[in-house]
Amino acid sequence: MTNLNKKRATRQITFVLSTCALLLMVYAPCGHSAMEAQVRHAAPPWLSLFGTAVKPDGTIYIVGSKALLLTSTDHGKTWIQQTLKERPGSALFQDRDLYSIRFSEDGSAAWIVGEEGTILFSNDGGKTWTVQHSGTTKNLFKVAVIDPQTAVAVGADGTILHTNDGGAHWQSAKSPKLITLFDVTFTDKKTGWAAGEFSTILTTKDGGQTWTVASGGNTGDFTIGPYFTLTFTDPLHAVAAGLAGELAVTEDGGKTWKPAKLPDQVGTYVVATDPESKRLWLGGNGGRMFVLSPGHQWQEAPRTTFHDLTDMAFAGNQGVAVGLNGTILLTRNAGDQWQAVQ
Amino acid sequence: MASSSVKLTSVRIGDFVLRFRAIIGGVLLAISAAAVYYCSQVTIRTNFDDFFPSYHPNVQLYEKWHRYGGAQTLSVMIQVKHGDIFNYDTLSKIQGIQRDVDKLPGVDHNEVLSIASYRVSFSETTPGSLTIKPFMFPEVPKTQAGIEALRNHVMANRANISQYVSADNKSALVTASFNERGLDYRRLFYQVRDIVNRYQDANNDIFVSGEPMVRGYGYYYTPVLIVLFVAALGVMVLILWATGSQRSRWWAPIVTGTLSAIWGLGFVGLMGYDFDPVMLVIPFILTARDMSHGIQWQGRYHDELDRLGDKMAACAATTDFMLPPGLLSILADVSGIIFISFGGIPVLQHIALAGTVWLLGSLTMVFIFQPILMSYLGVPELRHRKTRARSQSQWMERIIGALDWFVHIPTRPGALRKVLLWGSAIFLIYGIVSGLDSKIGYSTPGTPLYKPNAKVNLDIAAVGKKFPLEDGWVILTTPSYPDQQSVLGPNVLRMVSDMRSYLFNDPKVGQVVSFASTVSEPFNQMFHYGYPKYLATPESLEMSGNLWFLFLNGSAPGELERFISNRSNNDTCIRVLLRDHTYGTLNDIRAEIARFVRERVTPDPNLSHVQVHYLAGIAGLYLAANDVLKQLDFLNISFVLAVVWLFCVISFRSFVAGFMFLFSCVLANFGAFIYMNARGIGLTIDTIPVISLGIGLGVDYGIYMVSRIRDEVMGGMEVDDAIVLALKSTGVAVFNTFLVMIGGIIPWVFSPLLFHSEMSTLLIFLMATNMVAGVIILPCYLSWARPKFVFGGKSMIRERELRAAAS
Repeated sequence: MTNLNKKRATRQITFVLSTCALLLMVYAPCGHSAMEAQVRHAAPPWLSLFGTAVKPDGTIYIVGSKALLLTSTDHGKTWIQQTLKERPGSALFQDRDLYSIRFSEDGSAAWIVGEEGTILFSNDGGKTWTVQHSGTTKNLFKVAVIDPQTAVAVGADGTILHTNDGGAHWQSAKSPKLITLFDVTFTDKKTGWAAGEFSTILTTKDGGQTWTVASGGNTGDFTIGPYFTLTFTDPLHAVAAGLAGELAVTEDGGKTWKPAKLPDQVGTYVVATDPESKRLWLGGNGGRMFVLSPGHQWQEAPRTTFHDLTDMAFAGNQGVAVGLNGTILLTRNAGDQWQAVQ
Repeated sequence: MASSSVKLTSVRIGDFVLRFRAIIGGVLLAISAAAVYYCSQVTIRTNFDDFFPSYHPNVQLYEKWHRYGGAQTLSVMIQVKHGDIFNYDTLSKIQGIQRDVDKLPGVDHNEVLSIASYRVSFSETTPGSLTIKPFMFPEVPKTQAGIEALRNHVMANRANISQYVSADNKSALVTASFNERGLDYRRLFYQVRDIVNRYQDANNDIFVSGEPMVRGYGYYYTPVLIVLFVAALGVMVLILWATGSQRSRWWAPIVTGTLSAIWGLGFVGLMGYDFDPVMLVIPFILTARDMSHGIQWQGRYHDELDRLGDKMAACAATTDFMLPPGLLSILADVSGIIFISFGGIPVLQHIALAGTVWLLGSLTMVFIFQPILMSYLGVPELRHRKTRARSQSQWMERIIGALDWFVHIPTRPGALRKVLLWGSAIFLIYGIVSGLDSKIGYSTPGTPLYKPNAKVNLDIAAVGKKFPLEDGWVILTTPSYPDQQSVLGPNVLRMVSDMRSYLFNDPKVGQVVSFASTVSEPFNQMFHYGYPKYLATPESLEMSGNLWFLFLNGSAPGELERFISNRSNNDTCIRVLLRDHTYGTLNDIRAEIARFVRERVTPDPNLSHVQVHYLAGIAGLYLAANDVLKQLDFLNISFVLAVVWLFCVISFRSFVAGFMFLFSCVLANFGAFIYMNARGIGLTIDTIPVISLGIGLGVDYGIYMVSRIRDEVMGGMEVDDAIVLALKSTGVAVFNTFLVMIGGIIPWVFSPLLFHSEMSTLLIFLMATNMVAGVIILPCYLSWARPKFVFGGKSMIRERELRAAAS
């Protein structure tokens, strides 16, 4: 082979190989990935928020639909979103709604109750949560924490559960009426109150083991609406609230309950007392809020949301109200001004 | 007479054609006459279904579940400049638009929705009763109290009507679906414009978006496009005249171009294909291709005429010389366009088949009919133009000197040639990298057919800011009620609710509408005193069935069918409303649904008989097109490259020749991706036919050049002299062709359609790259590498000896 032929062959081989190599590059594979965010500046608006609690250190806890837990340690500026694992399976499978969260007075223990008998417990101040066996598949709408070992939960179809051992065992208590109970609260370690359908108010004197009817209970009259919420401002004074602005008030520690009315026929689902000003707050349908200052009549507060409110909590002059469609309202002046977190 | 060195057959085709010229010419003219009749049958209209691959699961799913509405949604948004929509004037306009949209041609009356529709309702509870009320039907509230009540209802039910009233209360939307078959886009477009004009005033702006408007604007611009078409043809003829009028038969390519156009359009009419006005640029490209071949043929004919001095001999020789490279070039074009028909997208199939017939018409007319025509016409006379002034001739001398320097570049060893060769290699690599990074589908929320500042895109952007626009359907098929796994089963409803929550994590999802979220959960809450904690899946199948019954009896006829198509309750539609239809959005949504099915549905034993089908609706259709397009484009390019390689190997009897032309082809086509990426142009249903046609555009430049060089070398000419001669003769013809084609394409750059503007620029880029590759790079390579198929080798030597003996 002559030098010219060798040179020609080399050039041609180089050319062919380069072309082939470049063509092969055309078929290189591609791919993509997805990620999930954990820190948010507001609640997901497609989720419902059902329960809230503020720890003594100011940390805000909110529970909601699809096993949602939101926590904020900076007064609501940022929120850490978690999906609490309430059963085996992937994160997408944790879909039970969580309805209520309450801490013990010292903030060391807390319970969350929810849909289909779901109970979660934390004994480290809300850092970690474990599932507890409730023994029921009924919805549990509210929990009251008496101390780190003792709690009572109420829910659908007369469900009342109580524990004295930090939730290791939940025992069922008999409701005197087969009605759904929406709220439960305790005025001391032994005395408790529950509100439910047919404007019924139940009471217990033994820490939740036995319950009697304190008011209402006429389950034959379907025109009587329910009480969704009740609270005591002091051992003598309390208010229960329900459908269409219906209220019941007591001034004698629950011995007698008198009917009352809100200024408008609005269903209210949550009542809370702010410890600073001792004002009573009611929240309900369409984001309507009503306030009762000592010695005054009920007044409607300026409206900051149109979504139903479901729960409220106060710690000092800091308050939080939550509701449907990811609604979070915050106040840092005991309710003088509420601001929506968006 | 010299024989072609690039021949596919030993038959002397030129002699054969001229011997039977009367018969062949007569047959071709008869076919053309018949085609003229069918040209008159061509209809300019758009058929929506033709734009998507019929075999794709998404398209089949959409067609199977068509009862859930059409994919073509029209969205009319009214937006107030001051205040909000809650005033009598604006609310009345919403109602008026609702009524007028309901009168549009082809509208699905069950799918005209807004807050003024009787189908858009909310439920309300009072002690002892649960009622379902439309927001604003039948009347607009006249009193301030009534308007405030409406506002409160809207605010309280915001989650379920976010697609009709914007979050800031400044905009409201009226949406409508259409029956695709036989939709008259032109009429629809102008009637919608009437609605806009009727309701727009100082405080209320009207914006319209949706596929019907996107397609409708094509008709709006049609007169301008026809002017551009005529202007482009005029410019082509002018350049043709300017470059070729030294001969009296310069107009011959116009005749062949017209006849092949008649064949192509006649085929469109014969097959009953619809002609989308936006695609008007495609026949133009085909005509330009035809003209290109015609000019090349004329150039060679004149050369042969000068050489042989006999008209008939020149016609025969030119036919023999030009038919093989012409055939190769047109086959490359055909392979480029025919492959797009394999994607199963009807509109591409139509373009592919009609384009193939058109190109075969070009082959016949340019290479068979043209010699016959020229044989009947007199010898083209050489005309002499006025000589330029003496002062100008000095400039001419300088230009001629520069051209002389230019034609010697390939044969002059040194830095410039190396720079050209290595530069082209780098350009090729960059092109391939860009090709790998090419975008599929739409890359902007609006339509890339029109400019970003076009009214249609401004409207789409305005509506898109407030409302999710694109509709993707997830269909569940289940056992019938009262099976626990029917669509009313709590576990199924819960899963749908989970899917909604999960999809909302993606900000690209604007709304998810399902029976579970829109009906079942709110009704469950209302049924339980309105207590918010019951805004959840009903606890039992019985309760779920009761709520379904309540809704069925309390809502407007047909309302339930938006969610569940029959009374057996064994299928349901979940509508995922997306903020845009970009490739990333559509792919992400599909991947997210796939993950959900994998992790949430499949492992759940309570959903063992539930099947999840996705994705139908317009989003699914776009996704189907995207799936096909990327695959199609790369297979298409590969197929064209393979054809070019194969035919070059056969024609030049050399593998190296095959790779050389492959290099040239890759250089130009992947170079086009550089432009596309720089301009953000994606492969879409609209761009792919143009790009596919562009693949073969200009590949003939190199083929003609190399053939000429090889012919001259075989005729005994020295290597460098052959290259210089080829550059001076064929190179000039190639340049003339290039001028004619880009001259004709340039008017499209000024089209009101961004699509035309970008595609014409792309084609100019493609042809310029091909011209540089064919006229400079390939001769540089030939001079540098001196491949055997041109400059030596046994077969070459033998052929040369045979030729010498023959002469």
